[in-house]
Amino acid sequence: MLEIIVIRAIEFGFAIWFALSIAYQFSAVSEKLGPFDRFALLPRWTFFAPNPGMQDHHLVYRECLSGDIDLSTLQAQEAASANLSSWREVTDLCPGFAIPLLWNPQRRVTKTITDVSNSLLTMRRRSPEGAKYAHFTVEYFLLLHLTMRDARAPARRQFAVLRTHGFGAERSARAIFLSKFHLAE
Amino acid sequence: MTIAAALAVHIAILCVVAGIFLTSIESLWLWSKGCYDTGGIWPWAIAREVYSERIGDVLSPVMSNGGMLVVMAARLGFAAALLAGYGNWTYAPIPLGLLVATQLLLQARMHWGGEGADQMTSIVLVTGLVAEICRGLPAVVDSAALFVGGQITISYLASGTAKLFGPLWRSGRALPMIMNHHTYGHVWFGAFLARYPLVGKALCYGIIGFQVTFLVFYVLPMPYALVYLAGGILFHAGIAYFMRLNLFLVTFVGTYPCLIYTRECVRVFLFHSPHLLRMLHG
Repeated sequence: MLEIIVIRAIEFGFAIWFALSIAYQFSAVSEKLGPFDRFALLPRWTFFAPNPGMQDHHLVYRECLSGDIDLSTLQAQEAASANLSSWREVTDLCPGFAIPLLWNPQRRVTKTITDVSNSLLTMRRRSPEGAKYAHFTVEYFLLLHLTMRDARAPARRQFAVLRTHGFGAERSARAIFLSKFHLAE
Repeated sequence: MTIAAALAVHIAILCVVAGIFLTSIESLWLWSKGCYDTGGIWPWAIAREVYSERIGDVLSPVMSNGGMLVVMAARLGFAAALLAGYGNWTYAPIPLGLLVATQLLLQARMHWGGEGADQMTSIVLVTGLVAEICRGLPAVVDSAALFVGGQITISYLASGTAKLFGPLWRSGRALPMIMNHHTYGHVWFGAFLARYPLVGKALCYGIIGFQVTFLVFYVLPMPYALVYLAGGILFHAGIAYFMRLNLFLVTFVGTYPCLIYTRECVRVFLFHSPHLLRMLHG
């Protein structure tokens, strides 16, 4: 009797998990259940669809070493451009190499920048409020942390996320996110 | 062509564990580069922000930089123990259970940078653990194999349907575009597809066709159904080689024995074949 109860309970568990997995393929369900699925047990099987990832994401920053210049608005930043450094890429996230079918740890690092950038972009697209609150998200903190790691006071830094497509000279680029200026500690 | 449920689950577990072995070495390499440290790309100080203060404090010993080293080294050891003990499944639930625990821990720690193969790994590990604990109950082992076979079937159907909604996939330009960037692209293959756009189109339509018609695999008789398995192996090998998503091959193709088992069960259900029924039950 106990054996049958155990079997039925496990079968029921698999059936529920399977049904939830099917439902999770729909955005409306995955958006609602996603935040509760901390262990990622509900899969989203999209395999590069409907819109495949075909862009590289680059984290870049620029710096202002003068502490008394107003950089609070885009207009002020434009006016202070002579005091700002050129844009530089945060390149030292994890250099390395890949061996096809065997070795490619860097994919986790590049995917992290892609995931974080996409989250910020999605938030901004959803609503004007989303754009305002993007600055208070964990994703924003992570990019800020990566940008400010080697900054020294009184420098202020602003980061941006660029999307590029293609290889070499044919590459096209577009900025998708721009942060505020932040003071180094 | 048929396979016993227990063997199908064992093969799926071993393939997933082989993937964990490789990933653990990669993770240890990333750890050595400081990726999990306070100055790295995945510092616990930021990752813990998604949890409450109290949960963050509880998790800190295992999720901090030092804790992650222990977790990843332990995973390497558990995976090696399972692979080395291939064929002897008596004590498998112990390392398997520890792999499940650390897998869930890593999923909770790493909010970004994951991929589809990680999800299949979690599914096979949890299902495999249930099957191993209840190995004396054939009905549970059968359900586990069917569940994994069902998941891979959903993965193809959902992915194929999603591609039908993508303008780039429908126009046959998706693959050449994917191949033309650094993260998941390939310089040589990208240039090849740019030179021969018809090949790119054919591949896009081939992938969509393979995925959206995947249920045909269940009704086609052997050996014709093997076309789907060969197509799947090529698909995952292509992803692993050209996109450098190495885990996709071993993890997904490793579930194919469960897929074959699921197909046989579906065919018994559909065609009420007593011959198949006898073969399945040994």
